[in-house]
Amino acid sequence: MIQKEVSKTKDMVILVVDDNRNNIFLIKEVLSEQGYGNILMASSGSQAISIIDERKPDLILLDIMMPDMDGYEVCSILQQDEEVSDIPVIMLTAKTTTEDLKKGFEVGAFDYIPKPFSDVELVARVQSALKLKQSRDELKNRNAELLSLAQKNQETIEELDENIREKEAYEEALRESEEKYSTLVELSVDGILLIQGGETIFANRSFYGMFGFSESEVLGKSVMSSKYLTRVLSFVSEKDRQIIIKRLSELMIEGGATPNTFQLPLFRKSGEVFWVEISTKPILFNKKTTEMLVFRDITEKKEAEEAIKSEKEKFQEVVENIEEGLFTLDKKGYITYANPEATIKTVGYTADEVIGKHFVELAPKESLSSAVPNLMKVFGGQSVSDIEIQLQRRDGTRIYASISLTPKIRDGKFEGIFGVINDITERKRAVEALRESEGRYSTIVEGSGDAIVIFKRFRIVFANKRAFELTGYSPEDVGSNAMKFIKFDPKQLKKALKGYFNLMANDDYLPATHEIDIRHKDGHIIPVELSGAKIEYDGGPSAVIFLRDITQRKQAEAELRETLEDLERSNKDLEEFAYVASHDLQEPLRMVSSYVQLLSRRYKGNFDSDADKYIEFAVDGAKRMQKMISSLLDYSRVGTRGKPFKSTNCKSALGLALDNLAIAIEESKAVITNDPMPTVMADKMQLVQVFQNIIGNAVKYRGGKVPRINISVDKNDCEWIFSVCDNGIGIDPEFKDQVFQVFSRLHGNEYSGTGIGLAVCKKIVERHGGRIWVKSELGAGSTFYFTIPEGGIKNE
Amino acid sequence: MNNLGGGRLIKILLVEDNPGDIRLAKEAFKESKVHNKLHVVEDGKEAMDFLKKEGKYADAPRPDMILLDLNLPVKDGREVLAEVKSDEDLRRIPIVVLTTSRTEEDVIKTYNLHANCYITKPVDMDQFLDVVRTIEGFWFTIVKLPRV
Repeated sequence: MIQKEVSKTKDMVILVVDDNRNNIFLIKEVLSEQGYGNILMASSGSQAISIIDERKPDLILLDIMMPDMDGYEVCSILQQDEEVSDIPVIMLTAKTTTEDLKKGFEVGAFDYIPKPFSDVELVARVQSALKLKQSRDELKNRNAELLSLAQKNQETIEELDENIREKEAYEEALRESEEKYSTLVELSVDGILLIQGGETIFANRSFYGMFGFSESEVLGKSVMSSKYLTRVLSFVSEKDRQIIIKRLSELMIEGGATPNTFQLPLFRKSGEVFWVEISTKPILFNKKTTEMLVFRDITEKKEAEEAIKSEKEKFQEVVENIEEGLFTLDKKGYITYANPEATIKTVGYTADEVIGKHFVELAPKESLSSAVPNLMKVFGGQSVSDIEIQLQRRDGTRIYASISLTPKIRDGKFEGIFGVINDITERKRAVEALRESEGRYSTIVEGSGDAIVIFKRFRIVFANKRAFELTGYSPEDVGSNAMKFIKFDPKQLKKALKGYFNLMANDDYLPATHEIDIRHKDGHIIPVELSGAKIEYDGGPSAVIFLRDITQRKQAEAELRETLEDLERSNKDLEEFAYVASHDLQEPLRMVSSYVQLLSRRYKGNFDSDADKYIEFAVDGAKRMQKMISSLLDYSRVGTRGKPFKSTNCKSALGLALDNLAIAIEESKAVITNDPMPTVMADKMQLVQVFQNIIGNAVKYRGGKVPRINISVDKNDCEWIFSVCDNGIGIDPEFKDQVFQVFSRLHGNEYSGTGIGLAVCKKIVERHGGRIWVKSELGAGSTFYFTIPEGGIKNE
Repeated sequence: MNNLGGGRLIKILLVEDNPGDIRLAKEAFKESKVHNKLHVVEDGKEAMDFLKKEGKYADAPRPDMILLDLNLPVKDGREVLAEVKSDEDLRRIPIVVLTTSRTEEDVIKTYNLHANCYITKPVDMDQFLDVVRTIEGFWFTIVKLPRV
């Protein structure tokens, strides 16, 4: 059924009007693909008008912007011609401001499709328009059929009435000369029965013919008890029969000057039911009061009436059940009829509630100024169709309805209004939602800093503003080959194509990590980050590609890389410098100290005691400087002379450190304990140095106490945490960062040292990818912590 | 056992470009109890000429020991070391590398080139004297060296 109806709409004739032939062919192609075979084309308004006159299409797709005669004009011309005014017109327009749309709907457009439009949208709107047209046509045809049937029946009835009238006149004459013209009674087509004193005394030939009884069955029988009459009445209910008999006897008893007439279905002797109109009249017969009953066979008339009634009922049934709101208004606009679809479903009132209301009462105030005036045109005898109006339902909710009104004109007189109402709330909401979502979507897409391009089978079907900026192409290039639009660097083309096919085959997202070079229209190369996704677009699988210009990022990256390289180089240079400098500094220093000593050795006693003292200071200074240089050398060697990391047993490294500190430990009687040690990735000698320096400090800065030192190991998610806890003099928390700086010393001469030990530790730990810090209070001991990443640092 | 017993003159070749160090060494050996003669050359090439008795060193004696600095002009101390140690005849002369460098690398490299001993020049005179005395005591008193 549905299949049939769909195919029916496919046979409907669609006229496409557009001054751009390409557009016409495009639309034709899209519609043909959907199975619409009857597509007419017109490339101007005037051509459209002449085609419409000739072919009366079922739907017109009308371009608004056309030279000479524009779409609005075409539309309003069509509206004036009653024969074509009901053809739905869908405007194709790029002008979608409210004003434009309003203008379109005012001149009678049914719908509009904003340009550029999608195939899906076009087909959907066309389908919906055609369906509407189809149901409207059907309704119209059915209406016309019913009307003609009703008219025919009316004619029959009138004819019969005419007959009856004629016969009545004849009967009148007959009655006047009843006794004299008894022969005429015999000739009467009506059955005549005379009753005297409740007994049948005469029946004419027509009576017998009508009922099929014989004289012996009729004459001399008591009416009240007469079997035949009972039988005649047998099919009616007992209650009705009693009423009829009572009425008959009343008639017969009371008599009266004017004939009493009533209609009854009666049985013939054969059992057949037929309708009879019975007239009774008291007359004088043989000088006795006599009841005359005239039976007229009105079966034919009844049947005609029944036919009309049943047609009316059928019509009623159709109207009641049709899924379109139908209603009638009287001349003044009061509702006289509304079918269930129009009432309960659409406005939420029952028929009883709505009938008698003025139709304007259902419109909220806001609608009064806009839609109602349009509807009012119907009172001027003009049909209005598809007026959009907001209505208030009984429960207070608002709906959008589309109303069409046709004046009922009979004999040139305006008698009322026939109306069709459709709840278009859903459609309107859908359209609004679509427009809103399209709006939102398009704002995002157009506002995007990324170029967004959609292509289908290598053809560009969409590109946002940024895409044109990035590639240098213009909107005219949409529709062109994707490879023309996005020119990949030839070397990377294969990679790009592979990514594309992979995307289309696997429904995957292209990860955003594809960095690829494309060519601007003018030839210059733009590095982009490419990502994509497979989407449904315009009813088919398409690829949406996002291109992000990463020129600046690339530059920044290059700059950063350069800076890092510079920094690394300069760091290395510095280390090298420090190494060479301290190495070479030793030479002259050695000369200074050696010769001062030689001086003192050879000439001691030749100077005074001051001179000897000075020499002592000079030698001491030179020695200290030598130590510092040597420290600096150690420090610079951490970076320049470090060994690759190997799996190192910390127990052994700690052991070596303690061996190196053996003398100091022995002298101080230090008690050193430790946790079980792990194996880590490290430069073993440097690790020894770290332990040695920290433990050495703990021994050195012990104050007056016997040093107690504990080395413990902990582990978190990704690194080993070593801690060396002592009970020494502690460090003022203020200096807890300073202690790790080169030549930073917190103490004067009471403790020897150059202040390089912890700086070296820091450098070593950092080279291993770890951290070093200290927690301490003055006089409360110190705990030094350092970490070594588990598994070692990845790149040294 | 004691090479010094006969009061034999110990000939030492010092290869050193730094005049300060040359003088220091001379002073140190002056204070030595060993009867010694210190010959000095200032670069690696001259050292080789001296050892091979070439050019102006045609009459040079064969030294009992070479004190070699590593950082030298013209020909580096490492090259001298390598050449001497690969010479069938000269390789028996003990070479004491006396240098300011304390780097592990230099130490290892030097021993790999068959230096007999590696000593970092001490910064103070007293230590320097100690070093010289130790060298004498070890190489000329304790160690048995081949005659020529």
